[in-house]
Amino acid sequence: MDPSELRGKRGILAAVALLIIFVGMMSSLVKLSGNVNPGISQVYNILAFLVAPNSLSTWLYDWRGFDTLLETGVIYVGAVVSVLVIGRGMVRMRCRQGEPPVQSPPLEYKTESLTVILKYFGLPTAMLLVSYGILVVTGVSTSGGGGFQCGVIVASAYLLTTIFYGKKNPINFGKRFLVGIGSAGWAGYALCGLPGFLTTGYWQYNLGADLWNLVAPIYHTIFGDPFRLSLALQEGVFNSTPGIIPLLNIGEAFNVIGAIGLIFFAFIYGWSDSPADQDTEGGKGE
Amino acid sequence: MTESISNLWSIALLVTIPIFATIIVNLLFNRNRAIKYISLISALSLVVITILSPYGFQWFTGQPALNPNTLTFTFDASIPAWRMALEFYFGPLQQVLIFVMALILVLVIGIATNGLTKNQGPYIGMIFLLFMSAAIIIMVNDLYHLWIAVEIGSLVVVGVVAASGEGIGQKAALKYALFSALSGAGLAIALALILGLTGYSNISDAIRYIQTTNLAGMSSILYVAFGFFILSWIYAGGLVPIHPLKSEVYGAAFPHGTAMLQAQSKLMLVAIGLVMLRLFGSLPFAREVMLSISVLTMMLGVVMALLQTDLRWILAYLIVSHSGLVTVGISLGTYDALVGGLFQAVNDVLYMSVLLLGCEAVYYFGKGTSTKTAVGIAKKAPWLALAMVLGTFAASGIPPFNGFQSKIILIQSALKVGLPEVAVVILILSVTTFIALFRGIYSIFLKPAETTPLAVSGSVPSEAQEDDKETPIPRGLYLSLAILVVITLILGVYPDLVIRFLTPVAQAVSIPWYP
Amino acid sequence: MMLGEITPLIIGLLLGVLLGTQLSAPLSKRTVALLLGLSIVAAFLFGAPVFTWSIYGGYILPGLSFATPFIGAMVGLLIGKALRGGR
Repeated sequence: MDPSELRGKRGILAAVALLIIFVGMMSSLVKLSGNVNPGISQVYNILAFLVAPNSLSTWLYDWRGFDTLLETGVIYVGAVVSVLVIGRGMVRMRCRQGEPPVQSPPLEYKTESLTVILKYFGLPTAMLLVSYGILVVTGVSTSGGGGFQCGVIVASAYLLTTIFYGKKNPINFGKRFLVGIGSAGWAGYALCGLPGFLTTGYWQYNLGADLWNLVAPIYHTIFGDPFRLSLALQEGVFNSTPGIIPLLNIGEAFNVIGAIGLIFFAFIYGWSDSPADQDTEGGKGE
Repeated sequence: MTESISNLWSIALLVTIPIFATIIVNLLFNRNRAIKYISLISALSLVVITILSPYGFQWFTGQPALNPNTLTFTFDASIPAWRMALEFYFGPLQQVLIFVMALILVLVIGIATNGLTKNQGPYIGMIFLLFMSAAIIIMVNDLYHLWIAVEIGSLVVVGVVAASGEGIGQKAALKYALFSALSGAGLAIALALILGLTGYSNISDAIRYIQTTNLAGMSSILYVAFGFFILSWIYAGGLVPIHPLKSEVYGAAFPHGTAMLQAQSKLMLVAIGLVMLRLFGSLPFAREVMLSISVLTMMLGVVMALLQTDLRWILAYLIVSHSGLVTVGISLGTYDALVGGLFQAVNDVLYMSVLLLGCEAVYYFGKGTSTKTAVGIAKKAPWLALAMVLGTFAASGIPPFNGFQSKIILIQSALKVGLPEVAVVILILSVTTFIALFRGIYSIFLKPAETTPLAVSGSVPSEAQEDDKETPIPRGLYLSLAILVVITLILGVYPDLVIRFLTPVAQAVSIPWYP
Repeated sequence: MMLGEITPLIIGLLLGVLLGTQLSAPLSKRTVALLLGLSIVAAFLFGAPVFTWSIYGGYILPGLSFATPFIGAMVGLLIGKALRGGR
């Protein structure tokens, strides 16, 4: 939007509208402070530790696990749309050519000015960062961590090496790898709901934890035992398991690595669908 | 809503099949044949699931509800209890709306996979996600999930519009992205306020809490939440004052894409409108605000449509103005008005799709859709001209087409609540729709071709690039048009086929105009 | 010992291998040694989750433990890179 459109009457209108919104929101927040109704969250909090010691991950991936699937989808769609604007998957009508598609050229930047020391330490730093990201995703149920964070940390490692090395990036994520890992992540997350759906009819029921005793014990062994820990809590010692939560988070992490990596890739290196591209490899096209 | 089943299979499939289809076609990217088969099979399976499914609930992640009276957990959806899980409901209204959307999805997928060039994967994926977002919004009974679905829905709109790759599409897409981010944030604030006030993100639970508890001084928070809800409603449906933004989106996408976009947008209007009616319908002045926005949208949209000289843009503005018809019914909130508004949503989606697919067919004559360049097409394609004229009749509410049936219900209900002004506006809208559409259709189809300045083509250099060669119209496009025209006719003669699906919801939600 | 103490290590190793196959720059032996050393230091800094009780999970003494998934991920990265041939 052209900022000059906001001068004059329109600008005044916009300012008045913003003022009304601000006053309305602030007065409500003041009224709510100290009076927030806990509602259903009491029940959530009482039960959360039965699944995972990090109750935030129980909230996000068990009670509200399906919300998180769609949030993962928002990231996926955001990446696909951003890259589509750059040029991946533009379509035309066959009967009509119209104007040529808008193409965005890659960013031009120089890497010569960076010191040798930075280049020398770039890759080891990035590898340590990637390891840290992986640590974060494995610790989702036992400590603060999760798929979103892992994805963002790994993508930031990718951005770091991109800035240090330019086109000769040692973290050599290809287009196909990024699209594939992003899709595999979202698909994997969604597929984790299937076992619960097939056994109980509830999509994404946490089979491993099985709080409500809906499935046979064999499923506890398959989905729960690999992540079972003995928790020493105030309430006593529990041999509890987060069930499918770690798997969901790996899907989440893949999705975020793919999505954010793809956005970095497309904005920095540009996008072209030339025949030499990886994406057209093996594809017959029309 | 007395169905007690809380693990209905169809709801999960209606949501996840589009997700998997999107992922697969996006990965296939340029293998058009595989994309075509996979997407057609998925879309057809969605239609079948919608028809076969019984009614009921799906509690995602399988958490029970806590009965506050006995303090026990239950999986029976008919018992009023605080839901721990995310709740979706599939009932008669959902069935008919999702069926119409799935039908259009099948037709659009058929047209897109035949009529577009290579690398269709991401675009077809976006079309599936349009369906998914609309299906979720109409089924979900949870404020938080409603917000996420609105977010994903508006992002996908951006994708569908930007995929055309033309400057105008990209500009419209980016503008819409900016403003829809604002509306998403508004909805998030609204849900945060309601969540803070009640503690429940399940809409039925929140309403039960509001009705059973004395809110005293806190009730002003409801008004603020209502304001933010209105904001997102306006953005979702392109109501006044952002109608130019949404019309740009409709005009810049491919016509078949617009058919999906308008279907999604109408489902969103209905769903958010019903939620608003349930949550805020009894607040004084709430419905008056909604009604005035709707009436303004009808009038401004149709006036803008009169000014256009391109069929694509005439339709873009008409879609927005007809959204106002749907919302008039929902804002009035009485039983009759709700039936009329919901029925109008179904009819609107159908007849606008006829017109949009006809508009797509006009492109095959190689002269664009401007009334100045494309003329005399009726001679080459008489059946197409007939379909367009019938579509115009349906849109202008001429019997025996479906548009007539819903408009007459709306007019009667407006008169019943003592608002003859609204009835008059609806009548004016019908007449003006006819004028705007027929002006465009007359010059494109019926005006004799010899009056065109074809011989002096050098004098219109700007249109020269549109001057591609003529291509035969694919049979699938004709078939889609025929199916849709027949449905508009059948619904015009037997409106009860749809109306019996709408009455349960109208009964449950309706509020008398002067309580 | 519970299985939940070892599974993160295995997952870390596998994810490391997967991402390691995307690395393509020469690493000298000294750098590899440096990386392994640093990852052990980092693992001690991060520590194991408090619900880990066995040496396999990284628990040594109360207040002293190391994050095995971190080391697993680093080893995985190096393995993955070697599998790719260090192009």
